[in-house]
Amino acid sequence: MILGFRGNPRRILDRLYEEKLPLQAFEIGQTFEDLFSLIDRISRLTCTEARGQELISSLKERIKLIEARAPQPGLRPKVFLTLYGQGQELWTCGQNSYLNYLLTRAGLQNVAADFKGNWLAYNPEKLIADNPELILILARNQEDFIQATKWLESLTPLRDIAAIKHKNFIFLDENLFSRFGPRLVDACEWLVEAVYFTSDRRSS
Amino acid sequence: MNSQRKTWLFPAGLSLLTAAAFLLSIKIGAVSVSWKEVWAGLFSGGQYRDIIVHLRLPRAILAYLVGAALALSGAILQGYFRNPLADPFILGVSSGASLGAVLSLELGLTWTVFGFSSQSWLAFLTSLLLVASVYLVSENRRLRQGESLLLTGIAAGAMASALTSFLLFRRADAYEQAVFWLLGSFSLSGWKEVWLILPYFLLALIISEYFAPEMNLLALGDEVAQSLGCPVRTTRRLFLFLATLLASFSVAVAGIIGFVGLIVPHSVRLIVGPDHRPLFFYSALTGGTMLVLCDLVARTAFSPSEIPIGVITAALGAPFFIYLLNWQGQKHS
Repeated sequence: MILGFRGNPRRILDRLYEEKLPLQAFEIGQTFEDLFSLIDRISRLTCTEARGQELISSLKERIKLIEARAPQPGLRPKVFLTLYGQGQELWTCGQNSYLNYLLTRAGLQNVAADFKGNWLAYNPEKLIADNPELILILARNQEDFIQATKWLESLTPLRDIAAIKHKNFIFLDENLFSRFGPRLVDACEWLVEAVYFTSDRRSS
Repeated sequence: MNSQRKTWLFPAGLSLLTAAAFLLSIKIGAVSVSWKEVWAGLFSGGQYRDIIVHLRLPRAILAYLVGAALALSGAILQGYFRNPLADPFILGVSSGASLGAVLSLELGLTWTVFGFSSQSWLAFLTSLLLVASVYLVSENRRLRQGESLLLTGIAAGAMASALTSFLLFRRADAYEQAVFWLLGSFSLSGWKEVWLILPYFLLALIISEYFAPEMNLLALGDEVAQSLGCPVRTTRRLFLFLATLLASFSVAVAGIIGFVGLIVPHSVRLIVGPDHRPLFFYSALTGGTMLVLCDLVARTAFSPSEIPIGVITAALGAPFFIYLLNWQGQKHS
C-alpha cells in the first residue's frame, strides 16, 4: 500500500494511480481534529483500528493536560514566530498555518494571526507596534538559533521590542515543529513547557 | 519657446515627484502615523521615532540610491553596447549574485562581516567574479568586443542560473528565504546600507558625468571615436567597471531588482535625447524616484505582509514601458 500526501507533486500521485498501484492520498491537515481523522483513516486501511483508537485517546488526554497548563485568555503572552534565516526578511506564520493553530492551543497570541495567509514576510514596523513579549525561532539546531538571536539583536530599529530587549528568545526544533503528524502534540507539549515552565529553554 | 519649456518642465516635474515620493514614504506604512507624529519622530523623538528614523527614512533613501545606481548602470551599458535593451544584469551580475546568495544558504553560512550577512557578501563577490571571468574570456574572441562580451555574459549567466536552480532544488526549505532575495527587498534596511552604497554611487556618478562626452564619441563607433582622440579601450573598461560595481552594490544591499535599469534610461532618453551627460544624470534621478514609489507599494499593498519589490517594478514598469514604446511609435509615424 502507498500512502501519499498532498505536498508531493500531484503528477506523481496521478502516475501511481494510473499504474493501478494501491494508492491512498491524504490531505495534510491543520488541526488536532484533522490529525485524529488521519490516524483513524490510516488505522482502518491498515486493519489496526484498535491501536489507532488507543493512540487517538492518548493524544486527546495529553491535549487536555496541555490546555490545563496553558494560561487563561487575557493572560496569554504575545509571541512572534520566525524562521532562523538571518536574511532580509522576518518570515512568520499567519492564520491559516498549523503553526498558528499550535501557538493558539499552547495558549499563546500570535501577533501575525490577523493575516489570513499561511506564511508571510512580516512588516518590521508592524512588529515594533505589536511589541511581542517572546520571539520563537524555528531553527535546525542551537547554532542557527544563536545566530538568529544575534541577528535580531543587531537590528537597531527593533531594539526596543520587549522580547529583544529582555532576550526572550525560544528555540523551536524545526524537525519537531515542521511535520504534520502525532508529533504535533509532542511539539505543543514542548512549547508549553518551554514558555511557561522551563527557563533554560530560553536564550536569556 | 517650446524647447525652453521642455528644458525646465522635466527637472521641475521630477523634483516635485521625488519630494512627494519621499514625503509619502515617511508618512505611509503598516503603522498609521499622523503628520504631527512624523514631525515629532524626525526632530524630537516621540513614540514613532524608531519607525520614522530607523525604518522608513533609511529605507526610502536606500531605495532611492539603489534605483539611481541601477538606472545609471543601465544607461552606461546601453551606451556601451549601443543597444537600448542592455540592462545592469546583462553580463551576469544578477545570475552571479543569485548563485552566491543561494550558495550561502546551501552551505548554511550564517556569519556577518561589517554588519552584512554572508548572503550579501557572497552575492557581491560572485557577481564581480562572474563579470570579471566573462570579460577575460570574451577578450580573446574574433568577434567585436561588445558582441563577444554580450554573448559570453549571456552564456555565463545561464550557467550560473542553472546552478542556482539546482541548489534550490536540493534545498527546498531554503526557497522561501531565497525568493525575497532573488526578487529584491528593502525590508529591515538601515543606515549602514545607505552609508555603504552612497560614496560609491556618488563617485560613479561623478566619473560617468565627467567621461560622458567620451561615451558620446563611442556611440559613433569605436573607429570614429578612436580617430577623434578617444582612448576607446580604457574608456570601455572604465564604464564596464562602473556599471558592474553599481549593479553589484545594489544587489548586495537589496537583492535583485529587475526592470529599473532597462526602462528608466530608455524612457529618459526619449525625453532628454541621446547626449549621455544629461542622460546619465536624469536616469539616476528618475530611477531613484521610481524605486522609492515602487517600495512604497511593496510594503503597503498587502500590509502587514511585504511583497518583493522586483514584482512591483516588473508589474508597473512593463505596462509603462509598452505605453512609452507605443507613444514613441505614434510620434514617429
